[in-house]
Amino acid sequence: MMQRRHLIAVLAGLPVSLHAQGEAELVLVVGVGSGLQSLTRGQAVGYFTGRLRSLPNGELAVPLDLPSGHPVRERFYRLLTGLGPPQMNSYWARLAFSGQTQPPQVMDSEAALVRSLRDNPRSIGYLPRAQLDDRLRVLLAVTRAEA
Amino acid sequence: MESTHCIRPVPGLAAVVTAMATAMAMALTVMPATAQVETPDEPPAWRFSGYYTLGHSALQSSAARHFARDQSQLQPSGWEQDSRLGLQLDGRLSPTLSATVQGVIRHHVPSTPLSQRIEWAFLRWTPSEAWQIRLGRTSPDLYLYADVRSVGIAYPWVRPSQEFYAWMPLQSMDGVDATRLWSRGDANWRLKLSFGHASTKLAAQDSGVSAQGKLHAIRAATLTRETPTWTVKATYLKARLDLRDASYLVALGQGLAQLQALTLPVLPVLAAEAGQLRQGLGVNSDVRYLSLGTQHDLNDWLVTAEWSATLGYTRRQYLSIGHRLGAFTPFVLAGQSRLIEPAYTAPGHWAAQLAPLVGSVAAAQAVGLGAAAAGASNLGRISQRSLGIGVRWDLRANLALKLQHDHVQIQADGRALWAMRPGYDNADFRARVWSLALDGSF
Repeated sequence: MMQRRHLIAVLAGLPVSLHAQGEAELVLVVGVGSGLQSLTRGQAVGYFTGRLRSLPNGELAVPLDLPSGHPVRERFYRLLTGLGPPQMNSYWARLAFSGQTQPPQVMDSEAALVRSLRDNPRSIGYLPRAQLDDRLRVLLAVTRAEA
Repeated sequence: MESTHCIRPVPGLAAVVTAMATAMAMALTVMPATAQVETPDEPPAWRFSGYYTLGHSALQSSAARHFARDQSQLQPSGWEQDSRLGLQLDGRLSPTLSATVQGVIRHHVPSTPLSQRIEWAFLRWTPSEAWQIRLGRTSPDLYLYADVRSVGIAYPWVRPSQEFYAWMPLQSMDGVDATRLWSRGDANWRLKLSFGHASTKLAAQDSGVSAQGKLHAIRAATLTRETPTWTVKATYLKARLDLRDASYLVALGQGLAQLQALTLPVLPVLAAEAGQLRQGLGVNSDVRYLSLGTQHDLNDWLVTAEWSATLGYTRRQYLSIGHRLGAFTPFVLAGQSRLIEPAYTAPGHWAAQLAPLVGSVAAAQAVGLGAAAAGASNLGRISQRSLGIGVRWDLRANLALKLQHDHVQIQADGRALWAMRPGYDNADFRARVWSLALDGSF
């Protein structure tokens, strides 16, 4: 489906990356080696707002972020929490500089994030669904919070 | 009590920088041992981060010449009230054990010990998702923004409400806290119990008098309900306030105690008045704080309100409403600090009562003692209200520019945050403050 949309976009002369980032469904993913099979929305919020630290097997979870300013990252947090980049930064400043917890580990690129997901069974990340491959497992489709 | 007239604070900054660099260098020396067990896919075991504010304030008042952001400052200049640099090092020692050190380079009351300029230094043990125990120097977590009062990027204003936060007696606390965490629906709950003691250098702006304020036997309970968009917090704290190492206050207290003992059999009313003045010095007394706060950040509206009482002494409250319009967040901020007890007055009537007993010279000395005690007791009073408007402009996710204008009405007997111009006639007065600040984090 996504490939077809990309093809239509290319044929229409539209910038593919912008189209994909603006429209593509975002999903929470782990590597196939992870013990996580699914997540509730509340758990997803917990992992990416520093309120949930451990995986069901007791190991420390490693939530991963894309770089600051990355459009997928901005969209992910807007969908998950309703907050934009400055508000998320203020939120993390309150938590980090009050000694409570640290924000997710920032990866250099989507490729680096995918690599970490494949290699580390404790990593949790988010990606456009179009970038999935058979070594990643979808936990949750990230949609806008209901009012 | 020591006088700190005309002493400027700058030399202390170099010492703070040196101490922080030393502490962080010591921490970094143990990094390789931890790094050896890391893989490229693990988060770093050590994390260095920080925040800063470059701020300037301009005061317009016919009565006042200086104001302070809080009582840990003494007559700061326009650049010193809000400018600061915070540096933090977090270390992950094991899956359940971590360490945090944070120092803040900012204006302090001169002669503030170096050890009191480190705001955080603790070990945290997290045995499970449900429990967290911290040992070392932490924040008392008394108000909504108590833990991040220095972190400008974390709030919309140039500074948290002066009426509410300027008198916060605890900057940091040495001790232990235990937190129980649980979730219910989309909300996270935290119940934190804290035990410890605190020491903070405090100053009265006009007199320049400073004292080492100590709180012993701190016992606090904080209940917080939190979602990313809504926080509600309630705190109760009890402690023993101790100013006994302020020699000036000790001398006044001893003098009043002697007067109390001498006059009790023959002038019980006067003895009681002397006792009240002695208690007002706050040399060694119990204090209890109660506070409630809420912060709502939803649909581009940001509403924050807090109420607090120092039981038997003061009431403080503020309300802020902001509305996010793209990168701009205009806001209004209204605050009030109100004292329940009237100010202490010099006991001029003692002269006539004491003169027949001890002679006019000694009676005059007793009146002088009472007047000095009344003056000292009134030094720390904050009674004022303000209305501010401003705007925060988010230049980037981690950089914001803020402009704020405050109109402040100060009562004559509650001006601990203000240093007066010569010839001030001891009446209520008004002040306007313009503030500009650039806040960032890294």
